[in-house]
Amino acid sequence: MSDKELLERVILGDRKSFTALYNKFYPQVFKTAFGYFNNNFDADEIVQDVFIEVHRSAGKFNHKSGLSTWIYRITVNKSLDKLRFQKSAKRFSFFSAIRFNEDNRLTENIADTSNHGLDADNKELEKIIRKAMDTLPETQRTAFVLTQVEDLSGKEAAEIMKTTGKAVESLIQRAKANLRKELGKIYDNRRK
Amino acid sequence: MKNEKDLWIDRLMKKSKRADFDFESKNDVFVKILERIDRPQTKSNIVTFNQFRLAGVAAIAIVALNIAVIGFSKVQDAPNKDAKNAYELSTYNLDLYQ
Repeated sequence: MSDKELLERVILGDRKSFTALYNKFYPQVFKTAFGYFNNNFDADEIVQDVFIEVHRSAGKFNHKSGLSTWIYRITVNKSLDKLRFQKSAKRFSFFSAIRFNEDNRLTENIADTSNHGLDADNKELEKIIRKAMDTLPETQRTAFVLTQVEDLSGKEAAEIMKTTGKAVESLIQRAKANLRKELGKIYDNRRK
Repeated sequence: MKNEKDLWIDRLMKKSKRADFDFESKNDVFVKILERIDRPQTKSNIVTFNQFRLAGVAAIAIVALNIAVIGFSKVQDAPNKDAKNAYELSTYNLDLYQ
């Protein structure tokens, strides 16, 4: 069954087709979201939001781009929204103490996912990567996640980001350079 | 020859391209999605980013308005205060001559 047929059945309310759609696109949505958040808790929340959006907006999809591209776009937008929200919430200490204490939650979440095959060293490294990734501008981060974590080509990433392949290449180079710089700083601080 | 720092950075750069996902929560997440889809749509009690930003702007506007009102009332009070002082001074002077 083609993606178009699958989506048409979802629009008609066919639960089996929605399940098939979920099974088909879950890995790409989860991996992309994980690329932004580096923890299972936030990635799972993004997966929920993305598929609910897909279910609600299926009728509005115009098939000008591929279904996969459309779902990537929703995932990127939901992830960026959540990141912006978390950053804003962090600025208000009273808020973060009540609900959005990200560092605490991150620690708890990683502890919760101990059965995900990650040893203590890996968890620590993931926290460091997240810290370094947090410093990247949104476009660099998106280009990096789509091409390095999701392993998409520059052309595919460009289509999702609605930009050119050259622009994506440039963003990736800058993202890598900035990440190396940030990781270097973290390394130096740990040595002090 | 790469030093220890470069090797450490290389290791983390490689790790950032993580590929060993096990998708353990896949089914649990799907159950939650179905629950949310089946639930009659009500207004979410979770604050969205835009609502949060709007609340911030509103709070700043209220504080700015308060400062403006207090400032304006002080400016308005100033001549009255001067008049009161002048009156008190004049009556004090009168008292002196009595």
